[in-house]
Amino acid sequence: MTIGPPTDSRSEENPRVDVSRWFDDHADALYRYARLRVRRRETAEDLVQETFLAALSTIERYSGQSSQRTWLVSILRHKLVDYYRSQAFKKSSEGNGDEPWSGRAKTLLFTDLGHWSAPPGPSIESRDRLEEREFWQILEHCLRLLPEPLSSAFVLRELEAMELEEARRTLGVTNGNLRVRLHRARLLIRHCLERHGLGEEFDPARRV
Amino acid sequence: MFGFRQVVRILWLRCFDATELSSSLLDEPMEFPERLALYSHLATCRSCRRFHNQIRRIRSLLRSSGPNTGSTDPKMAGQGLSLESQLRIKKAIQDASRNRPDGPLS
Repeated sequence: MTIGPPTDSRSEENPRVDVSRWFDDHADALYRYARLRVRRRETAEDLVQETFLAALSTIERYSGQSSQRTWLVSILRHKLVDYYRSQAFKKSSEGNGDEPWSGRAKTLLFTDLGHWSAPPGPSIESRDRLEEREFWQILEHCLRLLPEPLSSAFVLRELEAMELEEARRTLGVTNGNLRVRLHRARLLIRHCLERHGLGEEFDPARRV
Repeated sequence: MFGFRQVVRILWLRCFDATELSSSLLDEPMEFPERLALYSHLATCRSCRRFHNQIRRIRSLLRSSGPNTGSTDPKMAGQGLSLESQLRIKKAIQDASRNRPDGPLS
């Protein structure tokens, strides 16, 4: 996607430092990366902007060995972790001791006795049967349905593949709390993916 | 040998608790009694077996795409920044570029 006048010919000689082209080439991809991982559109936009600004100030350190995209994404990931950390700090200083999210997965999917009331179907199908794009849209939708403490844990651990201890520190929670968050998040995400077309008995009518 | 509580846990593991163990196994190593409890349960419970396998499947689907694929796929055009945000961010970047101590970049 190109906006503004076409980049001038000088940029051909040194595309590495053409800020405007950088933006056109990578902004949307960075935005989508961020948007999947944070709840609010504005937050994702801010992260994209911060990423470019940080890239600008450290451009001397860009070796050109990794692709620009990879380099920018790695900066974005750092920004993302900073954001999660700041959110965790904000919550703990608000003294939110109540955790209404912990019961939801249980009451939605299990009986009082702890048996399945909504048992899993035969399989979660490979995303090959869906358009790549559709798969990520469904995931994004499902992540938004989760309470924030659950989605942040799920994103750091399952999407960002962060080590457990690092995720624990980033979110500022205890081991036991993170374990519960991840458990509830996996229950709800699996259930949601199945309902939105990744289950085996795929019925388009059921899709939202 | 196992204590009484552990034996009880192995014999009476409920599905909800089994799924917690399945989940935990994706994150950290598990003590033998827990592992035994989980796998005994999975051997006889099809629903929990499905859950156990499917959360692993989901992990591999999500992690198999590097930062350059998946959600950043160009096919997702139209899912990008709004025009308004594009202009705003681009301007912020160009301003910052112009104000660099060692001069503008381009």
